[in-house]
Amino acid sequence: MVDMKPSRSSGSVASSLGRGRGGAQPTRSDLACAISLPFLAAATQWILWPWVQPFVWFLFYPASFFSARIGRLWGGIASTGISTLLVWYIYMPPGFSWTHKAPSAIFSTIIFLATGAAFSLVHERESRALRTALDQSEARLKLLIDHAPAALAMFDRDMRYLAVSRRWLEEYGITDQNILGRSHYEIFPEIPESWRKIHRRGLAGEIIRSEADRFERQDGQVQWVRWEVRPWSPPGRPPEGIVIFSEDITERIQAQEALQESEARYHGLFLNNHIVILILDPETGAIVDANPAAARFYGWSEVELRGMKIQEINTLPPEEVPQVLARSHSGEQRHFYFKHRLADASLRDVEVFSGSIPLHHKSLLYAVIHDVTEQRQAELESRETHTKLATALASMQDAVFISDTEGRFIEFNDAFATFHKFKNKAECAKTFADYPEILDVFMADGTVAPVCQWAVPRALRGETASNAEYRLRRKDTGETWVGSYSFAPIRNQQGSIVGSVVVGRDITEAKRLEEEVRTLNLNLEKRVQERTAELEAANAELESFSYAVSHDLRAPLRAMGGFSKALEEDLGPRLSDKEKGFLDQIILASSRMSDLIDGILQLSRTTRGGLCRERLDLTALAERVRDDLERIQPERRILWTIEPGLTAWADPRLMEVLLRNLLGNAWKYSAGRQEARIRFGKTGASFAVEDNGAGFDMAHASKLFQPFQRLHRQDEFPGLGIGLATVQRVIHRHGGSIEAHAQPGEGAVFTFSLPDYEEHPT
Amino acid sequence: MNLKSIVLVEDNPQDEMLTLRSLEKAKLANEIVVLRDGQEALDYLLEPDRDLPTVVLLDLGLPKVSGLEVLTRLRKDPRTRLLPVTILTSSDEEEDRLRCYEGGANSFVRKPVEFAAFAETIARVGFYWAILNEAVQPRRSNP
Repeated sequence: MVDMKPSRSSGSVASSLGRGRGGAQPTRSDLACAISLPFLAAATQWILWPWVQPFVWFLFYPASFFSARIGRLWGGIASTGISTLLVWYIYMPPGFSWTHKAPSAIFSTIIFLATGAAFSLVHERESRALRTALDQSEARLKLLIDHAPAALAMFDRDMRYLAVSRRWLEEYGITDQNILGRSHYEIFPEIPESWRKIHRRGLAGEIIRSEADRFERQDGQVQWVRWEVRPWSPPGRPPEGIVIFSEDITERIQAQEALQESEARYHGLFLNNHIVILILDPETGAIVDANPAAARFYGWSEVELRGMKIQEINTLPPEEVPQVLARSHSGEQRHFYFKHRLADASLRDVEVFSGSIPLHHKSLLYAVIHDVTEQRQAELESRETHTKLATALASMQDAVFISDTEGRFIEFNDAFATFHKFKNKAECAKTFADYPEILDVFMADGTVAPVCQWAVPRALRGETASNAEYRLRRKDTGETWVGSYSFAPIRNQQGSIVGSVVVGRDITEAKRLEEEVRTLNLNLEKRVQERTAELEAANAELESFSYAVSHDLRAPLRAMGGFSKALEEDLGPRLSDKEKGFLDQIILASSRMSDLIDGILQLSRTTRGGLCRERLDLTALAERVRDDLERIQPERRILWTIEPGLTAWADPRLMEVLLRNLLGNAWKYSAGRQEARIRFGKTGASFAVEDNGAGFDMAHASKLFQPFQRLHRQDEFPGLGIGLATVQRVIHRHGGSIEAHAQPGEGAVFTFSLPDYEEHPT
Repeated sequence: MNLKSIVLVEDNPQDEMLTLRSLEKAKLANEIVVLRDGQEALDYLLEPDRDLPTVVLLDLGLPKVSGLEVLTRLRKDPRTRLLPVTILTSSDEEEDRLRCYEGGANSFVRKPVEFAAFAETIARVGFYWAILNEAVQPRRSNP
């Protein structure tokens, strides 16, 4: 063998076994041999003639026979002819003469010629049959060698090519040469000694082979060859040559290597420390194999896992597992999320990638399992947060806009779309994308706001604001509105600005209302001023009226009374009793008129002037009033009950008026009683003044608090009818209420309440 | 001893008559000068050479210049600054009373409607100021 030479030429089949001795045509030497045989026979017979005479054809028959055998048709005929001539000339009597011979001689000659021809024809036919058989065998052998799927060559002892396969020619790149009969070393003089030695060993009868021999070719490629050198020999004979067989098994070796490598790779993958892999039987769900990572993950040993079914791990209902396996097996679904149960019964969220592994008899299912529990949890939380945020944003009435550093949308809510008078978010986003300058923006004072003064650019510059007012106008629809904006930059943890958030609120309506309220307030203020002026005027009028009453009505009365008295004094005894009685009536009338005036003034004073509240000791005040009353009428015997510790948040002057009237009434109307009782105290939260005096008929109670209305005759109980009217006004001025309960002859109870503003300031 | 006069400022002739009668009945010997409106009272009292009365009985509701105004003007003049002034009025308004005392009135007396009470009041007032009260002369600053 020599270094393999690349050969890609596809030459024609040129190899053939050399034609052997059983060829189609006798060679020249065969013919010469055939022709020489008659002469040999003639010479031999000459020597033997004394013993063989008179049989002139004695040795020529065998000569003719063998000549036909060697030289076939034409060798036989030629030999026969030569033999005839020799016998005719030499041995036929008379010897050494062409003269006419005896008829028996002619007859024997004819028999010889016929026999010779017969030999020739028979041998020729035999030879042809043999040749045909040989040819066929040779063709089969040729075909076999020629098309042998290996490089095959047969050499003789001199390493000359006897036969060669097409593959050999191709592999040695010598398809264009006729190499048969030529020496291998002649064709490939560079064959190294090592190989020549192997050839020699083969020729010596040894069989040498290699199953996989590695060759590195000149271009660096590695070639693997399987070869065999084997001697060939006819049976029982020393080797006559060698057969060299070689086969390029590079691809096979490479495939094998690749396979080994691949297997190692996949094995490594399977045994990988981190990736959890299960191999499943798609029919039953049985775990066929599990890698160490799976054992670590699930907490069962690999052996335990191999005895389990996936149903024991997957938390799906067992009846659903076959469907999942089927889907995965068919390739319909390759990606799953499951919850897997571990040996310690805890559950993990897993992401599973699966697929089928086709094998010869049945296919299996691989499942790569990835623990995504934390991830899912984080996702869940993140989604939840996001959902919350989104919900919060969506439910906000204020327009919210979150931008990136370029001022582009990151997020905005429905209210933002509504705020800008869009039907929905989609329309809003599209319009802003198509017509970024759809808005005219004005400052609160109506001047055009340059873009750098808009909320987003300001926020992105790091400004914050709340309730910044802008007026906006849609260029397309002409709608205008007023927005109140709060904005701020969004900063990352390093403090640099990564976006902005702007919250806007449509305050158009609020502004309108504000304006309206302002106008109304102005009007109201004006009206209040007017009314106040009116009231002040009325008060002043009342004031001057009271003043006039107090001054000017009294003076005439004083005159009437005074001069009547003067008359009485001066005339004295000259007046009759009747005349004196008339003057007394004038004096009495003027006095009563004066009391009425006092009453009116008292009543009007309760409604005039400021209310000066203070914490007031009502008990002390009542006791003072009691003492005054007792001083005026010391003869009255009254059983007083004044509760200690009574206080009120009230005007002292008015409260004195109130108590003087109420206690005075009780005093007055209990005058007829043997055991008069007056009580001042609390009834629940209210104050009560109670007496056991004359009382009154509740049927007339409606008149009780009206000025100048009286429930008793003057001759029963004199009075003006001003007291209770005054009392009610005092109570009303303090924001309280008063009511009376009485029965004729049974006494009366006046119950009044005074709101305690000190305890409940408003 | 030359008795000082009593000045009565009163626009109501009936009250004037009753007042004079009451003072008379009280047997006060002082001369009674009656002035009928505020302006007249000021003219009379602020005249530099006038001998000042022992007391001025001053009504509040006066024509031309009100009693309160008269009081205020009297108190501004150094000469009449300490002149006893008693307000005699029909009013019993707290407000009036307060303003009068703030204005420097020496007392505030309500005229009772009933004559007997009125007469007694006037008599007491006259008696008090004419007899009991020891007047002070305002210090004169050296020329």
